[in-house]
Amino acid sequence: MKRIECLAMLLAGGQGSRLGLLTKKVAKPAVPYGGKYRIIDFPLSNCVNSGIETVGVLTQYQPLELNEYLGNGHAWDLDRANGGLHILSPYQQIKGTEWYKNTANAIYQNINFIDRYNPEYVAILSGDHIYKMDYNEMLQYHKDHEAVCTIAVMEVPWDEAPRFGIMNTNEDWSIYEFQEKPAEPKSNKASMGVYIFSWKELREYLIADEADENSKHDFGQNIIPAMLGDGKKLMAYPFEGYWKDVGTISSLWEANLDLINPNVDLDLSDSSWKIYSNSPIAPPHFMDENAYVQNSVVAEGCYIGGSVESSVISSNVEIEKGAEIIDSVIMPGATIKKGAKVLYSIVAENAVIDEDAQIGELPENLEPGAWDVAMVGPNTVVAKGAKVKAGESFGNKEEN
Amino acid sequence: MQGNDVFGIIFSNTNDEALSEMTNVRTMGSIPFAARYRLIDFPLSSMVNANITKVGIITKSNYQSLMDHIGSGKAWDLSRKNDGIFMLPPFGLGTQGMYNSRTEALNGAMNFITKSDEKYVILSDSNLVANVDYNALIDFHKKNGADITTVSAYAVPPSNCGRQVELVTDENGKINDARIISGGGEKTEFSLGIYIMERYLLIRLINEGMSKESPSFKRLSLTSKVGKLKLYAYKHEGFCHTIDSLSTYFNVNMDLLSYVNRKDLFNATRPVYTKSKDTMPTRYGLENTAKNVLIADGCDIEGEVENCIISRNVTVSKGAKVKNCIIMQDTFIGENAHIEYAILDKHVVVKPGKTLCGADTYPIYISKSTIL
Repeated sequence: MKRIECLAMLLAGGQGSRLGLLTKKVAKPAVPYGGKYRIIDFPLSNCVNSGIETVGVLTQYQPLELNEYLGNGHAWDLDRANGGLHILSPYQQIKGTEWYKNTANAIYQNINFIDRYNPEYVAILSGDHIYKMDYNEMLQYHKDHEAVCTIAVMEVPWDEAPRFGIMNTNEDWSIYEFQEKPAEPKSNKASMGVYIFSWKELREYLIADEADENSKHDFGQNIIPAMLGDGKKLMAYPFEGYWKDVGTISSLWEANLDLINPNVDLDLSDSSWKIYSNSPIAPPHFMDENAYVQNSVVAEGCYIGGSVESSVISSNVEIEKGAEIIDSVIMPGATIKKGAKVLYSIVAENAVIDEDAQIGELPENLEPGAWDVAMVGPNTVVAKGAKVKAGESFGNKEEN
Repeated sequence: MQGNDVFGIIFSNTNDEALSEMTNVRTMGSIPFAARYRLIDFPLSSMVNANITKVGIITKSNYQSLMDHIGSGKAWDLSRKNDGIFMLPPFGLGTQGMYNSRTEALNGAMNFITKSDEKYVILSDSNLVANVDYNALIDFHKKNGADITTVSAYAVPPSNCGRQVELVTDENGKINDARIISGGGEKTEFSLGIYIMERYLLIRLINEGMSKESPSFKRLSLTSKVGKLKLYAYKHEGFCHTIDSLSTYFNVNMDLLSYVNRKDLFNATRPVYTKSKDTMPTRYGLENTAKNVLIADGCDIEGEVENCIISRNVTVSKGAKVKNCIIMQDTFIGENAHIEYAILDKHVVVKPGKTLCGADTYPIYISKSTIL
């Protein structure tokens, strides 16, 4: 087999339980984002745009929809004779069947897959973030510093640092300590969940880690500290630009609305760094004579007859005359009937908001601190005139 | 052979001269239509939706844009190890390559036709905007035991794309008479230029035609065969228009602002496929107005748009007014520009403050890459 320099392993098996109803039936990387994308489009497109053309996608939790979406990878130009996209699910072995226990164990179980390509470097990515990043530049940095492991970091506001895995670095950006969600952080360099390893070394550490019965088999908690303990060279790679963990309902909502926020540096229309997606087949969208759409994005296949402000309207959504959408995310295939109001909310795929129902509330109408994003789950029908309060999640019983 | 024993042939250069402004740089089949499609997407999707896995596309001239659009055929699921898309450029010895009639064009593709092993073939032009149910057509043809079935419509025949074949049929669709007419005039039943027949019969017709002086395919397949072969017409009832002039191009596009027409053409069970460009969804700014418009992905709408068809990656800047227009891909409309009744081809730049108005009966056409 032709040897490749850098292979990517994309961890897409997590449940993302903090996304509630959205991830009951689908894995987090398959959650819709930005009108026509799914979260996994970002790391996959980054790979392709960075020239990494062999990608293993590790799936475990609810893989059906994700697998169907990925197909043979053709939407990302990853259907290749050599390399391309591979879906790696847990498999049966002689000693029995094992689920992926954790991040490091998931890679350990696929050592054979990686060895087939015998790469010099392996990039470990996660399918949880919205960002555009040139992994190739990071790889060059990794090579220039002759590191064993390079971790992309982003400087976050100090008060948010306790929510992240923090890298404490020396002046030359080499890492001397890793702290998972420290109460009193010494640095504000948060790990972005993007790692590049020299494969030969990582392979040894994965085997040693697997043999250690006390290990949790996690990159952050085990592999990185073990490497640091052995005095290996670990580098932090500074990243500047937009990066957002979309792990919670409110962060997913925010990340969507960032698309229409002129103060946020997230441009998906840049033709030199396209975000590819397995787009649904839909005609152009239509605005009828009653449509009123301000500061919003609208995807293909929509029919808009109502009023939409500062919102993200995904493919094949129907918004009837007299419906009102403010600061909301409407996911693919949803229908908002006449007179319904959707305020500061997420309406998930194929949900139907019947006439005069109200989802969410305007923050200014509530006590300070009482407001949160409301959500209607996938395939859910909200009855005529019904109300879903701010911060509430309303789901179809069968979906639960 | 895979699929259903039928293969397809599409003529990409049908009647190019009717829209010479646009076909200067492309084929009829690659003319942009309905904001994100090319005309060839309609017959091609009809074939794919009927499980046809092999399609030959006959080209004549200026087919670079067509090749670029079709690529490997992936968007139509026709990038196959077996079968798939076959591009059939003019074929001949020395300088005799260029053909002048459909029969000659088919003769140039004789190799492709004889080498195929499907029993049936469907032939289609690329200047027809319709979502024809080819599955029903195939069933209709087989059920009637017909030799040739053509797809027909009851409407005013197009007046600017050569001669038409008027059909006289009985209640079962059997053709009792067929005559050549010049188009226009009263509503009547006429052939839409889509045929299904057995492959061996097509080869026989081509050979017969090539031995004559003027080998018109319409005469060969329909008018000269009345009473000799079993001819049937499958009547297409839905949205269906032949693009035969700049004004029909404009009007048929505008017809898609009607919900009923869109619903018929973009039938949910028979989707229309096209090449994807991976552009982000369209952004609407503050203080824009968009009413009665069909808009593709990737646009930036800051100004006022009304009664328009707007393709991918079009920018309408602040204060600009665009009414009753067809705007093609990558076109830029500057601030406070004012445009009415116009067709702007791809990559046109309208500088800020410019005014451009056609008449409702005669839209003006601005050619590709013009800077105004």
